[in-house]
Amino acid sequence: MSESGIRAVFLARRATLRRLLLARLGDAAEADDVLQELWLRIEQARTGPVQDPAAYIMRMALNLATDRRIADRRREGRHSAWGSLQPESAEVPGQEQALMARNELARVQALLDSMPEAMRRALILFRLEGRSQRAIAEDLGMSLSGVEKLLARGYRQLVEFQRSALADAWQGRPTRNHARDQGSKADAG
Amino acid sequence: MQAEAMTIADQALAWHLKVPDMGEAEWETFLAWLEAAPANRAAYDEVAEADGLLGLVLAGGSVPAHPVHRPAPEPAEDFGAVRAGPWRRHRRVLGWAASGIAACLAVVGAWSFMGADPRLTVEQTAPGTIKELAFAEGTRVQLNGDSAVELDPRGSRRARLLRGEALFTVRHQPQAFEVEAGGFRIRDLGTVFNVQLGERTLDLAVREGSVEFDPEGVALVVHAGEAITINRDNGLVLRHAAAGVGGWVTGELVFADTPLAQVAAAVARREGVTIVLSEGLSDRSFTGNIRLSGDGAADAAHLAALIGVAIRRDGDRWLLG
Repeated sequence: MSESGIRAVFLARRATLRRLLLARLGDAAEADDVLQELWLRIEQARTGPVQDPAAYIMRMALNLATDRRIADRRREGRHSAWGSLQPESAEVPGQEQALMARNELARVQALLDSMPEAMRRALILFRLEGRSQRAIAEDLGMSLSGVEKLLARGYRQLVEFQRSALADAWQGRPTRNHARDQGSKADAG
Repeated sequence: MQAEAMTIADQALAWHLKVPDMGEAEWETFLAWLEAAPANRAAYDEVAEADGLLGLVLAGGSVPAHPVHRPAPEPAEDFGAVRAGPWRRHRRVLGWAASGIAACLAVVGAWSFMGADPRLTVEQTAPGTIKELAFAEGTRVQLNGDSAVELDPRGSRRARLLRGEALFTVRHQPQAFEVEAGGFRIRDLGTVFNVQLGERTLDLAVREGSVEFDPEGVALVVHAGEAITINRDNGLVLRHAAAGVGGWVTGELVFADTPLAQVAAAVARREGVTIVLSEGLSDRSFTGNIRLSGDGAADAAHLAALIGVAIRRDGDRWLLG
C-alpha cells in the first residue's frame, strides 16, 4: 500500500522532480538519467510508510543529484577534496589512492575534532541522524536560532576546508594535470 | 563583490540546513532560487559537496586513520550522543573496522553504465526458489531467491544484478565478462564470484580467480578468498575475508561477524520464510555456519536456537527475540 503510494507520488511529481534535477545538474540528459535512477530506487526500495512522501522523494532526488555531481567531478578529473578521494586509477596506483583517501578523511576528522563539542554534536545529529533543527535545539538545550548559527558555522568550516584542499591540489600537482591536458590535446589533434 | 558572494554562499547554506524540514511551498521557493542564477547553483554545489565529505567521515571513513581510538567491543559507545535510526549503518561499518577484518580501501562513486538494451531479458526468482541460468559460451549464473538479473543469454558478456544475490561462474574469454550492480561495475578475470545487492550495500566475494571492481575508477582487484563491501550511500569500500562464498547454492551459509539482520535476510531469501527480529537483535553480530534443511520453518527455529532466543509464529511470519 505504502509502496504504491510512493510510486503514485513520484508519477504525480515527475515534472517537479525533473525541474529539481535539471536545476541541480544543469544538463537535461543527466537529469533524465537520474530521474530514471530515482524511479528504479523507488521500485526496488521496500520502505515502510513515509510521513511525507512528496518531501521524501524530493530529498532522495536532491541526494542522487549530489552523488551525480561528485561522480561527474571525478570523471572530469578535477582536483578537489573529492578529486583526491576518488582519483583516477590510471594516474595513481591503488595503495597510494587508499592512502590519499585516508589522509583526506583524517584531515576532515581532525577538523571535526577541533570543533567545539556542541558544534560537532549538532553536525552529527543533523547529518547522520537527519534530525530537525528543532529536535537538535531540544537535545542541546539551545534556541532554534542558536542551532542554526552553530550548524552554519560548522558547515562554513567544512566548505573552507574544501576550498583550501582544492587550492592545495592545484598548487601541489600542477605538472601531472598539465601533462594530461597536453596529452588530450595531442589526442584530439 | 565580495559581500555579494558571501551572501549567496550563506543562502546556499541556509537552504541546505532547511531541506530536512521543508514543506511543499518551501520546496517551490528553493527550486526557484536554484533556477534563478548559475551562481546559486554553484554555491549549493559547494555546500552539498562539503556535506558529502562530512557524511563520509561520520559514516566511519575516519576509522582507518584512528584505529586505536575506538574500543572494539562496544564501538557504539564512543558516540553515546547518537541514537537509533540511520545510525545503525554507521555502527555496522565501525564494527567491521574495529574487529580488524576490514580496511578502508577507497571511496567510489556509482553511476549507471548500461543503457536500455532490447537484447537483455530479466530473470527473477521468488523468495525460497533459486534458478540456474547458462550462457551459450559456458558461463553460469545461479540466482538466489527474491533476486533479479538482467542478461543476454545468447551472447553479450554482461549482466546486471537488479536486486538480491547471484553467484557467477565465468568462463574466461578474451572479452571480459562484466556485471553491473547498484551502479558499480565488476569485471571478471576468469572466476567464480558472488554479488549481493542490498538496499544500502553491495557485497562482492570471490571464490576462485579474481575480479576487478570499478575497472574505470579505482580498479580494485579482488582475489579468491577476499570480499569487499561497498556502502552505496557514500561509496566507502571496505575489504574483509570471504568465507563460504556462494554457499547458499548448496544451503551452506557461512557468516563471520555479520549483523543478525543480514543472517536472517540470507535465510529468508533462500528459504522463502519471513523472519522478523526483535528490536536490538538486528545489529548483534553472528559468527558461524548454518546448514539449511529446505524447510523454512525448521530453519527459522534452528536460527533462533543458534542465537539463543525464543521463536513464535505470527501468521506467516516468524518472530525471533
